[in-house]
Amino acid sequence: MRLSSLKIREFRGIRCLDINFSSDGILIYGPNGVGKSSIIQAIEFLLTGEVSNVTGTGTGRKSPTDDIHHREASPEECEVTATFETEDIEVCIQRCLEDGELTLVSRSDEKDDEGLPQSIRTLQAATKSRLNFLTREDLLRFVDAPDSKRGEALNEMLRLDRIDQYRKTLQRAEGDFESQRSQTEEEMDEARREFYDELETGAEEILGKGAPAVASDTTALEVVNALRAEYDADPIDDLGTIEFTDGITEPSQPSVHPLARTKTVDRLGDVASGVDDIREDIIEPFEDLIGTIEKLDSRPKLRRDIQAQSLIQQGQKLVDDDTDQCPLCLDDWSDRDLAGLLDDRRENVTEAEHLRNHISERIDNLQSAFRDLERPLESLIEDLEHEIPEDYEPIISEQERLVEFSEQLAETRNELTSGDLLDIPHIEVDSTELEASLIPADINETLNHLQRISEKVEEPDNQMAAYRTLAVATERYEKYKQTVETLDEKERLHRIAETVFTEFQSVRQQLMDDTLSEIYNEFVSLLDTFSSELMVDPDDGTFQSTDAGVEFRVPFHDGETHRPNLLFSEGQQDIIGLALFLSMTRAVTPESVDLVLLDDVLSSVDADHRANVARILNSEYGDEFQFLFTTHDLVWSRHLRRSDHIDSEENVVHLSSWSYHAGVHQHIDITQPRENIEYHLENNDLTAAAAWARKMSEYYVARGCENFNVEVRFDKIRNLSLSDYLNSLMPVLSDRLREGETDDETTLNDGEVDDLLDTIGNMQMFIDQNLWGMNKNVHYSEPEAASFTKGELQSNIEAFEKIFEVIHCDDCESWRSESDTGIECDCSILLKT
Amino acid sequence: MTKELNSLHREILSEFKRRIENDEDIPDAVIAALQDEDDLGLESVDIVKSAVSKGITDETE
Repeated sequence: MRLSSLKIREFRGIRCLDINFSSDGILIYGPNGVGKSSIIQAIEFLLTGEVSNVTGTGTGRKSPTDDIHHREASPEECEVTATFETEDIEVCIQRCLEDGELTLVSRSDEKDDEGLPQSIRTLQAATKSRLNFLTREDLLRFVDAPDSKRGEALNEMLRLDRIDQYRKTLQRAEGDFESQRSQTEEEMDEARREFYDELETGAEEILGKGAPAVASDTTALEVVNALRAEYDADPIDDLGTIEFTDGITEPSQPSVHPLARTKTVDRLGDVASGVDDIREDIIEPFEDLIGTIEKLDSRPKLRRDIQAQSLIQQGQKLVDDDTDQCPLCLDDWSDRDLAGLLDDRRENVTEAEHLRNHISERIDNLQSAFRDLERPLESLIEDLEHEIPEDYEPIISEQERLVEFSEQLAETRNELTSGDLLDIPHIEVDSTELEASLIPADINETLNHLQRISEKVEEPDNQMAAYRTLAVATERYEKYKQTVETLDEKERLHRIAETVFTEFQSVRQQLMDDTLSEIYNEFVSLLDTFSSELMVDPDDGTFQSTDAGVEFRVPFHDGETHRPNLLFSEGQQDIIGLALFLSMTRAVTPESVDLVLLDDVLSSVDADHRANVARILNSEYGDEFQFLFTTHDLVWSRHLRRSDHIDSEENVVHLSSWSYHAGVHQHIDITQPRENIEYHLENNDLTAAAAWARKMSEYYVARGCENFNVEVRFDKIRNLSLSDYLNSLMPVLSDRLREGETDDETTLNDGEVDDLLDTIGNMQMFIDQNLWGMNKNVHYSEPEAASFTKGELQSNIEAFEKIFEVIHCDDCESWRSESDTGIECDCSILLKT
Repeated sequence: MTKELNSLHREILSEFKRRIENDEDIPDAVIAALQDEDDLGLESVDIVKSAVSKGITDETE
């Protein structure tokens, strides 16, 4: 879509500006501070609702964008309207600051009810992503980026953040499914272990030492059938077919006191022994841990240096290569003992490492000691909570006490490893407090109580024990089977998520590499055209995707050891940045986006190199895109105006000046200034009208000097001014008029010649009195400086017009000059000499 | 949504869509659940996880 008209009202410094364009490129030029960038910002505001380089905080905590209206206007008066067109459709859109909404004004296909066409939304998205919008700041971002950050800068310039977000999303989803799968697998292992344990324990108790160890579903089936044989029940073929107690008559007292089982009693013994040794196994190592941490804490330099460990190592390596120069700032460091300093710091690192390793090792040991106590404790709790009948009530409270102890152990163990090792200790207690909080005061009493119960309970007979084992095993098998099914599902989910992620990575890698290769080749080609001396061997460069972003290596002369901004002039950096932007824009901008905004991007480039750029823009780039340039540089603007890309004067917007009250002033055409003068006179803006009169006068009088071969006296170190030209031209014109002859062939008659001589005389007087008031440098900032009335200005403009008739023929639109015949233009002779 | 992305994004997403549609290891129900109009619903982990889970559930049913 190409921009075909733009209306800006009360936006920043612009009060009212209407411009119509053809589909060619657009050039906005003029000096600094006349509103060029404001036009670009208006387009950005229209398309995105934001103005990217307006940052900070607005008044009253508003967004800074809320304050972009002209200070003398209200937000509802601030609006931007534009028409975009393709061969098929013309769409007019508008955004007003008041509500901030982009609205459809009209669409030529009359499908207004469908709202904004997709092509406008695409253009909006491209502009929001700044795919088609380059400022010098953007351009230098890549060039200024240090080597390690260049990929990141490119990622940003290529707007690959979203693709990267997708990649991360899919990777995290895959990771989450893997984590779920892994957790389910652990649960399944645990359920299987419990199932096998139950059978194994039962078999040992009932079948004695000849009982098979249960290490697989096959041996589990063997044990189930052996236990069923106690009841003479038929063997079963498969674990999953029936309940293990199927076909067995339930004994009158099917449950067995948990503490009647050997395994449980053994676990009780293990826990009691663990509690006896808790001081030696946990409390004392903990005291040592605290002591080591305090030692590390008391030496802040150790912490500092271990945190800078990798830098110190790198520093040592670099210093080994060159001790005379700082590897970072490249200053002479020969008078400093950098190597010695780094050696000292390295020793600190070694000592800190030693302490840290000790802490790490101690924490591992403590973890292990905790687990050694937690495991039998958890099993004991499970044994006790299983099938507790009413007459075993006394052990319930004891079991609760054990659970509390177990939870405390787990909590303390977790605290040991939470956070960074360097941040420990997290446990802000000393060993005495730890001992007190960790071990319940009556834990030994609980354990003794349980041991006493175990001594009293009767051992079950084999059948009762077998029934109980089979019943419990059935229940545990169900749980195990359930976890196997869950694991199957989790594995399937993970496989799919993994396949989806792998496909994405593969597509991303392939297409990105294709596109990046295309961009690199185009970049090399553009750079070669713009400035062939910049690169050494393009074949040495790479531009390819990595797992997480982009790697871009350009073979500049230094072999990539320095940033481009250290190697190249600002102009060269501009060229590198523009080449990269154009090649990237071409590769990744959606086809429907034609408009590319280039805000003063080649200000540091010399004329010859800019001519190269202009040539490229004339080529296929000019066909593909509608570039909108802003520049303050007259030479660059002439290059562009001569280019085919901007072949319509309609598309050249010359902003000549700006004032707070009047806003930007558009210089429409210097050869047709009368409309401007009339406009300002009608609006009683004498200063603006005088400015135009002055511009027109300067232009005409300068052309007059040139065409009548008048020598302009110039004795000041500044630009030639209107008075310089007038003071030189008027005497010459007066002489020519006095010396000239009139006849039937001349345009002037004697009376008109006399009239002109009077006019020149009066004009000289007006100029002497009022030229300062027409000074372009003062009258816009000081409107009251105009010391003439409207009538005076009008009459003198008319006087100027009379003079202009001698200089220019409005009939044939040509400039008059002197010939052997006299003063003539393309169509007539003014006066014979 | 896809049309608002740059060409490279669109190409990657559209080729990705084509690949997963042709991948026999990915059930149709998952692909269908993963689609969100012309985007691929890849904005958040939860969307992807729910698409994969829903796809499997739908297929099982």
